[in-house]
Amino acid sequence: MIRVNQLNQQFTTYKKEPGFRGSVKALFKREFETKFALQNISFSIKPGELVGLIGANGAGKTTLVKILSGIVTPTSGSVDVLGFKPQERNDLYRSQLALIMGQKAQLWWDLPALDSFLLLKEIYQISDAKYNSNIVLLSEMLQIKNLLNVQVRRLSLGERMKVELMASLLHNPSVIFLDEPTIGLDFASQKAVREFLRFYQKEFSPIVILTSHYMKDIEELCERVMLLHEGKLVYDGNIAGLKTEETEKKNALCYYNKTKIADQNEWINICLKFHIHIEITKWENQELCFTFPKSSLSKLVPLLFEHFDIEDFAIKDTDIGELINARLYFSSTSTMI
Amino acid sequence: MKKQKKYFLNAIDLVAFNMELKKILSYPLEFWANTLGLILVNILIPYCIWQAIFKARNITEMYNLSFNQFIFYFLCCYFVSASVLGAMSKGSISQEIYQGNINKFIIYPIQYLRFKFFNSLAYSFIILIELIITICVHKLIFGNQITILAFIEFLPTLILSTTIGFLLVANLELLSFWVDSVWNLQVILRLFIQMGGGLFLPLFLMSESIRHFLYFTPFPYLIYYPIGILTKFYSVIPLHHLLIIQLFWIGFLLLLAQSLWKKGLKQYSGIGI
Repeated sequence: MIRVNQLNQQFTTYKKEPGFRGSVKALFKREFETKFALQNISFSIKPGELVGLIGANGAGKTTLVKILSGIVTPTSGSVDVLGFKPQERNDLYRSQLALIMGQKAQLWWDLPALDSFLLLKEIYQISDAKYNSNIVLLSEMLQIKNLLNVQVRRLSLGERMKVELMASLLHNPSVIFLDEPTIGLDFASQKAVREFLRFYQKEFSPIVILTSHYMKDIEELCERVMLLHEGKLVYDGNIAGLKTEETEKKNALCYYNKTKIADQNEWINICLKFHIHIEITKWENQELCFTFPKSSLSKLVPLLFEHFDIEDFAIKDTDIGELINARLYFSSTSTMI
Repeated sequence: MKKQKKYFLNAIDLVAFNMELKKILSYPLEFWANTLGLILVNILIPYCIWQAIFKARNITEMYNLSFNQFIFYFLCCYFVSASVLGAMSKGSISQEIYQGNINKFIIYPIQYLRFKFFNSLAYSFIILIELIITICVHKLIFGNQITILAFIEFLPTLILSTTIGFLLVANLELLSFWVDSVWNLQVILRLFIQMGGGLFLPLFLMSESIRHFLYFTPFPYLIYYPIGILTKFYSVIPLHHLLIIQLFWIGFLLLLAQSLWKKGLKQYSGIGI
């Protein structure tokens, strides 16, 4: 169980004027400024939940993960993970968690993964039997049996991430923090990592907090998402709940041979006559793109075929990234949680 | 997790030592270039300087030491200082703080500084092997007077001076929690250790006032005195006095390092990393 209440995190950084003058001035006097990385964050996560932490760069996702894992001491507020205060860095707590940072390697670069695993075996006091069975299980699941004796620096990015995942899970952690685990990976590697995570979560039911900029990761793995914006928690709920009346739109993409419609305004007015509010995003070279409310789909399609000689046409859901942007836009005018 | 029994040495210490050793040995070219190249340089430089001094003054002995003994002194200085500064060679603690790689150590249920100490011992271990080989070769060629008893007496002083060296470097590198760069400070500390330890000039050639000042610093107890115990080329304080002084410095620096580590972690933000 994770309980976070009224969590705040401030950082003090120093400002320096640009140029040589600024550098000389900074030798004698420095100006400091306080930044709020997290503001009044409260939430709880039940055992076995897999939660997606999303938001733009600098929103506070990684800071929150660092606080929950005990790397950073919070400025104020209370944090309770598995009954421990992470900032106290109790050994019993630390032995139950895993942190996988896509941008930071935790394995020893110059050595084969198995050497790092042996160190982790001693660090986490894993029994021989458990260690051996986990090595077999995880290496088979991740299909990296033949990579364990290769120097880590000689592995590809995707292979390295799989080995990193394996290293982090050798001690069967109860809480797993995944900070952008698929960053920089190709499509096939992303898919493999996602499938592994889904399987592992189902099998061992740890609490998993996943941050990612790849919305596919969030969509496929998380039922619950927390959206951070400028250090504030602006949404906490399921992915479907991200969609509001304003944000729930579909995108239409049409390629046509000919049309009797003269310009954009004429098409907008035709739609309006049927109470369909559309927004044209592209109209050139017999290609038309526009968004429309999902509820108008049945009225819009016949209308489109009536006015355009359609060659090809597709309708797709709004991308989750666009939903988040829309959600963030609307959150500036209304309170969500 | 099994409850870890507290021994003087535990399995993590040995694995930390072993891993660093494997890391050093995984690059054979770098290893041999470092080993042979540095030994050669550290023979050639004092050889040229002291040969010029001995020739200019037309003498065969200085302060009861022959030319060969001077060269052997500087060779021993190189090995002991390399062992003492083993941890500094990679600047690992400060780099880990600046680059955020320290995060993984914070979440491991281990004592970070202890882990790094056993890492750094791997460098010192290799230096010790090189020193033993050098002493044997030197004895065969020049017939030095180093006895097994002298070496046995020297060994604990070397281990303690290596520990002091690690703690001095660690304390300085822990300042990385507060300051943006400690590189210049590292260079200054290295120079103090080498000068105060007698690497550039034996302390018995320095003025009385400088020597008196140095006694109140940890530097002479890092290189100069342990080599005195080993070679018996010059008079030094009794062994047990040296060990007590070394233990005092270890205690003091250890308390300082623990305090810096705790305070540093409290305000560590890991911002942007």
